[in-house]
Amino acid sequence: MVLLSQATPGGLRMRCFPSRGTVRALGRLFTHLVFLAVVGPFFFLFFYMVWNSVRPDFLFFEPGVWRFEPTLANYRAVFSQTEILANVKNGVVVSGFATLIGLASGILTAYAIVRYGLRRLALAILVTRMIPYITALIPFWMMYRWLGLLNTYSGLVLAHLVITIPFAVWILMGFFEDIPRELEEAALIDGASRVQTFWRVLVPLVRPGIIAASILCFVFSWSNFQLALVLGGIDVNTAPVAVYKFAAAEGGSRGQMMAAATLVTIPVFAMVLLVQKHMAAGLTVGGVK
Amino acid sequence: MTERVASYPAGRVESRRRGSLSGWVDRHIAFLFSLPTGVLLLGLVAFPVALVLWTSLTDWYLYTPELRRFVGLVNYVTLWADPRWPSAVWHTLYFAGASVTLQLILGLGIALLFNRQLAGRTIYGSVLLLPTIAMPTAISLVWKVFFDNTYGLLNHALGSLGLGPVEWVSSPEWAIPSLVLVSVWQHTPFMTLLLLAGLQSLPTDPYEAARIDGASGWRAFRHITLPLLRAHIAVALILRSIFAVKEFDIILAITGGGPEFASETMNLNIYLNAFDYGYTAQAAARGVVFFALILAIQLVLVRLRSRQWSY
Repeated sequence: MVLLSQATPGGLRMRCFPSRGTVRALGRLFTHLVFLAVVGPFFFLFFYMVWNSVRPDFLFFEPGVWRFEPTLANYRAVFSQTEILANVKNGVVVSGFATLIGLASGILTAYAIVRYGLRRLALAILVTRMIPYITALIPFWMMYRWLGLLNTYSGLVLAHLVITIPFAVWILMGFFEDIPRELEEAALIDGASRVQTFWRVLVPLVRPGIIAASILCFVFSWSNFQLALVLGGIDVNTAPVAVYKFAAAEGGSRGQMMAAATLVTIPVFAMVLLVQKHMAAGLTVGGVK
Repeated sequence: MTERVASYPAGRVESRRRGSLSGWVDRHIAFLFSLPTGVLLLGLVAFPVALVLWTSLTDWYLYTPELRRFVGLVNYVTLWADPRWPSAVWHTLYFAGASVTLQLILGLGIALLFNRQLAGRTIYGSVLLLPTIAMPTAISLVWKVFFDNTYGLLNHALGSLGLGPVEWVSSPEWAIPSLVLVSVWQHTPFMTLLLLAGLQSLPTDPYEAARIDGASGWRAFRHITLPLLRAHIAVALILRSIFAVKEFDIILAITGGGPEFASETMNLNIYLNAFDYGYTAQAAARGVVFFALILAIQLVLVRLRSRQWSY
């Protein structure tokens, strides 16, 4: 230890044992241990989920046994015996289109709000987030029955716009606010129209925002259960509904439950971690829903 | 949040194209750009809200739609005669109150712990984010396995500590506490992230002054951090309360409102009335009451926001 402290640059001063560096390293190690202990319970569930998705079912009946006998039987059974792949595809289609439309509409609105100070519109969009889904679902269901939109992709995509538009608008507003007005004015003075300025100058500048907003819109639409539960149906059930069916069934295979949960959770994690730093802003918008 | 909209004033530099189509577009750009969102939100929000209000004033029973009549406010009175509704209100407040309180205490603790420089802190932050973004129904599957009375991990852990097995979601008295546990696990990280952002925005001067005066640790927390953080705490509390009051996914997936409606919340009760029993008008009235409750919480938030940042 003493040698270590001497070896550090500027470490010619002899220190009594243990050196200040050692104490600091031990302190850091301790801090890491505390952090791990705090984060552990939040992580454990996901570890348990993935771990048990590749273990045989009977081990659930020996909860204290951590023996590892890897098998893909659960995944094979989930793929061959359930509709989950079709439901995942439905979810991707619904959330994909809802994200695309929500973003296209949201980016225009976000720009208009920031550029022209449309506070009332921003507030109105926020207010729409306050209406609980269940209250909106009753009239939605009635309307959809009249229009024949129940159990259709278009109906579900339309309903999911309620999630994606406000998200896209509020996240992108923050990005537009950060762009100096001079850039826009320079383009206008050079003879570009406002639409050209928006499309050629501003949209490229907010590209990080577009990426962040798309991922967040997609993820929140992807996880939404209630809209698809009521307005979906056998043809367009999305992933959360498929997963719910596992939960509702009594005495189903535990391993298959874990495999299904893993399939719909882990890919999303990878996406979100890419845009992690915008997550806090996104979640707060969600919070006002 | 609305103060963010305070923006630069419109059009000091005007586009030079006039008379042409693109000139017309340029002059009406604010309107044109808000149009798609405006139309969609009118159709998807304003119209449905009007429809649900109207439906709540009728006696619409799904299976005899031809008998639909206007009955005025009758539904708003009769809904309280259904004993399941008042208990659903109580369950909602119990669930939301308990989970948000615990989330705040834990979230504040973790935020204080995390509010320091440490190499690799972002990794811990990422992990902490996972419960918040994971699909609630998928999480519910895993918790259902944890809650199993005989083979569940929770009772196994309790057993190895010498504590008796708990009938988690299968007994009326433990159903809501079990759901609170799931909710705390799922949403404490969100609380932590909000409060951590608050902590990092605090000025450092008061702490230096306090250190000079010899106050530190608990006293600094009690007399500096808490008062400075009050606005952040209030906002986080109300955001989370709205979420918790609306909770649906984990409750339907884990307990289904049972056993014997012991964990049936307002959201679940409305869902069952509307889409299982077919009491469309009754459910609409309950939906409006539910919306009013959320609006009331939100109004408190707006009040707080308007006098926030004044310290």
